[in-house]
Amino acid sequence: MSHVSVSGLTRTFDGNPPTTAVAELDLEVEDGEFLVLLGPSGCGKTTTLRCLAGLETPTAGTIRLGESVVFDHAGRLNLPPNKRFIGMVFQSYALWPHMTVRKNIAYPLKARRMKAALAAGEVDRTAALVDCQDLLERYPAQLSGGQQQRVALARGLVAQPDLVLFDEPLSNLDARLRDQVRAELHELHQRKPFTAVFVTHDQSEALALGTRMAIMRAGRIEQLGTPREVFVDPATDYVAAFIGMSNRIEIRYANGRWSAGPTPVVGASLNPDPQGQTIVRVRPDDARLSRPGDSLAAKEAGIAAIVADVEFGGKHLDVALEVPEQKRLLVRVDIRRSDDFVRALSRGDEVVFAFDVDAARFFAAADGQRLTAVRSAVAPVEVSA
Amino acid sequence: MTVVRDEVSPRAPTEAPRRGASTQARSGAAAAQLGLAALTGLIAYLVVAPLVSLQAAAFDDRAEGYRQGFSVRGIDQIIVNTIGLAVGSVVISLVLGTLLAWAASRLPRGLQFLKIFPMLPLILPAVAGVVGWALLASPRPGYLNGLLRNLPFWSHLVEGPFDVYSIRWIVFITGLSLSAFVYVFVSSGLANIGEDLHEAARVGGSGASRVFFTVTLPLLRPSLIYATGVVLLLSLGQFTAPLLLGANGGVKVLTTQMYMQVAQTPVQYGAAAALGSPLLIAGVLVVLTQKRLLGGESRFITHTGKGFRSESRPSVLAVLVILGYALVSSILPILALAYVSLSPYWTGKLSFEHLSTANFEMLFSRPEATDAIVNSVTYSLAAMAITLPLGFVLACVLVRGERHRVIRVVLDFLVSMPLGIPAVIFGAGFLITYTSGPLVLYGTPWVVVIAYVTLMIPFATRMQLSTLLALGRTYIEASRVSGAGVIRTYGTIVLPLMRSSLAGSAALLFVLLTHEFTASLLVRSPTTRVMGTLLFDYWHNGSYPMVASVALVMTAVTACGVGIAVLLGGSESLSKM
Repeated sequence: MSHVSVSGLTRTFDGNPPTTAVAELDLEVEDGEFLVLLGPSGCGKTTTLRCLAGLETPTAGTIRLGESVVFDHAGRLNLPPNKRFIGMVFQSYALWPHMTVRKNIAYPLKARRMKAALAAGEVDRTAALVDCQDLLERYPAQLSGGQQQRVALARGLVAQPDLVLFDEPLSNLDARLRDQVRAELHELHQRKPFTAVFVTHDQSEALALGTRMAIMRAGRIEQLGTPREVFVDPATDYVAAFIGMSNRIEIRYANGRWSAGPTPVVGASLNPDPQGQTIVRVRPDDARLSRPGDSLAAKEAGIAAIVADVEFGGKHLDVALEVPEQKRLLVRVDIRRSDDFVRALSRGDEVVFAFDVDAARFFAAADGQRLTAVRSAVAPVEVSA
Repeated sequence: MTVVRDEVSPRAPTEAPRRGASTQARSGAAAAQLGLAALTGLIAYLVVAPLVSLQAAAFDDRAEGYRQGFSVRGIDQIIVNTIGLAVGSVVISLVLGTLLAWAASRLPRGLQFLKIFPMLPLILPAVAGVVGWALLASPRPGYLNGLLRNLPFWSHLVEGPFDVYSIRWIVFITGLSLSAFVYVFVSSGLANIGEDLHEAARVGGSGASRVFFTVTLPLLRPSLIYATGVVLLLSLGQFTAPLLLGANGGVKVLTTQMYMQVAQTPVQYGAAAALGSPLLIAGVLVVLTQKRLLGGESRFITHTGKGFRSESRPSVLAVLVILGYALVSSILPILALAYVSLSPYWTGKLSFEHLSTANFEMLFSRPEATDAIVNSVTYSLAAMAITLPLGFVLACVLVRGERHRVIRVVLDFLVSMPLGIPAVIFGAGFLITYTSGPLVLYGTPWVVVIAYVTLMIPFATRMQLSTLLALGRTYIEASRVSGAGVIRTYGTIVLPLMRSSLAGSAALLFVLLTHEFTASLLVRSPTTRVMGTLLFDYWHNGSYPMVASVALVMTAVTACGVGIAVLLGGSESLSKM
């Protein structure tokens, strides 16, 4: 039996027109699992989290936490947040400015009258766990952003609750600090697994932290799986776009050949499954630039394109391409592996956008669903983050 | 790391406690619902009962009140005067208040403290300001007139050139004091417009005046609409200046006419109520319109002060505007009061030979005067002690009561009523309500305290509403998910965080209450005199040095309250009014 179980969760907001933030969501989180909800703003991930916390009242559904039901619309049961055994880490940290770090961390224990835990030095132990043992007598205003985030984490964990909720906790930190705290959080969870639901819009956070991740869209879960599964086998066009397959080419099969608008697709066969419009998704670093007229590799397909811009990125070059009737394509070329041809590219040059058909993913244009007919026989593509 | 947990685990291990929790949660919700209903009932009684009794009196005997009220001699002129006073003072205060707000944003760095000066009329008791101006610009003995008659141009005159008892001067003095309100609203509106928006418009190729008309003014619209509404209501319900000044020149408005109906014998409640009805309707309309135009909480958007704020170019004119306003609105009247309170008579001639503190000695030796001062302070403190927690609860419901939408809307409207409806109407309403059953309180201090509480509900609520909104919800949510209940959350998180602003609000309520003149005058009885009514009695008897002394004592008591407010709540606390 799973540890957290959500079924039929719905939350609509009145308004003109009324909006549905979460629509009949089902979700199971196992004991000790770190589940990440990933999606763009407005997809309902934060509302889901707030419903779990009891800060938001769902319109329908049930939520079970540990062994007890905390929300049941049919049974008119809605436990307030303080009656659910949870911890939460907020985006703004929400450390109470009039309390020292020690008092902030001890608060959940005091509020739940966990005297034994207080007496056993749980506050100091949790502070040490997040490396804040030297900050205990300070006030939040005297701490840096990273320190505040660690204290907020300690406050969320100290009571060892059934479930720890994270509401985009890293997004207020600057880029370098974010990576550092992310690594610390991951290590902490490896050392002492707690059950967590983590909300973010950052795919790299989701890939790094999640035991499993759920990609949300318009209040529904589009795909749920381990980060590796989702990264390699995105179930829909939407998921593929969200986890970095940013190149989107719309192709059509006609007269025995594939073409992207007026441009023919050359090279390896795309395992024709001629059902009207198809979408090809390719990561920028899985694509390659080739001279017009050069022959492609055995499993490569190519489309003629014009260079629109070349951007220098230190270790790589980002080359933007134009193909008629298509969105911009992007190729990321490793500087060390680039040749003179690529280094000399400039706006207006003619090139071929070449990609390994096994690295590409195909989706039906009509509903965005994965077209599995194109599954390759060879082993899954090497994962490059 | 071992799991340490008490026997009383928050987890519900079996079926039975789950059902227990369910009924518990349900009974908790029911209790909350009941408490809210009781609160709404209380506020509704306080606010609506006086208005209902008034209308009942007006419609009694087949609307005899309306027949009497609107057949008063010169009723046409009274209505014209009321509208003229309102329109005139609204125009003056909008122009002057906006000018002052602009000036305050252009003060040199070292003179930033001058920003408080335009708020002086809010602090100065209205009666003191009016009396002060009477002493300055009364046709014959007014000091300003005396000085001007020394000039060649006016040397032939025996009285004038100013006549403070004319409608024009009543409009001017009212507009002058209302400018302070416009200043407060427009200033906060200006502060909410980031300097970057102006800079963007300048960089985009607009000149200073074009920036003002295409960027600043449109962004100020909500503040200006709100200010216009508030000032319009205040000027329609204006009582102090027309009563003290208008009586001499025969200038009557609806509010003073209402007072006459209640003050004369036999008391004509019906007629008084009928005369108040147009103001009542205007008040309700303006409050509703404002809520529609401005929407829920947009009025209370707080400025978070993020981003870079460049210094605007300081201007000497700005300093002059602010100093000039402070001089005319407050400093000159206070000087006149001080001089007369130290002189044996009000003669209009300046001489410093006979100045003494004899008036104050006499004042403090009269039991009626000391009683009035003690009464003022105790009634104000009592009303403050009731209103502050009441306002806190109301603010919490308005900010957090998402689950009780209907009650919230009703409360929001009820709470704004005393702000929109003139104090004269409430005063007359209190008089009727509490002289007859079920609650006969007339003659006891309680009628004054209840009147004060009712009038202060909007202020107490608004001040704490803005603090609560600025506090945000995450501190509260963080506490709730940490396992704290509502009571613990408010006790350990919200109240400590609001402490300084609560103290500031308390002091401000005290200030507003010691000012109170209108309702106090209407509900007064021989045993419940306060400073305002004492002043009016002396004014009626023509003992001007005593009037000036009382006005100065009022100002001093107020100044103490303001001092405490600033000390406890910071210098920003004044702008919360």
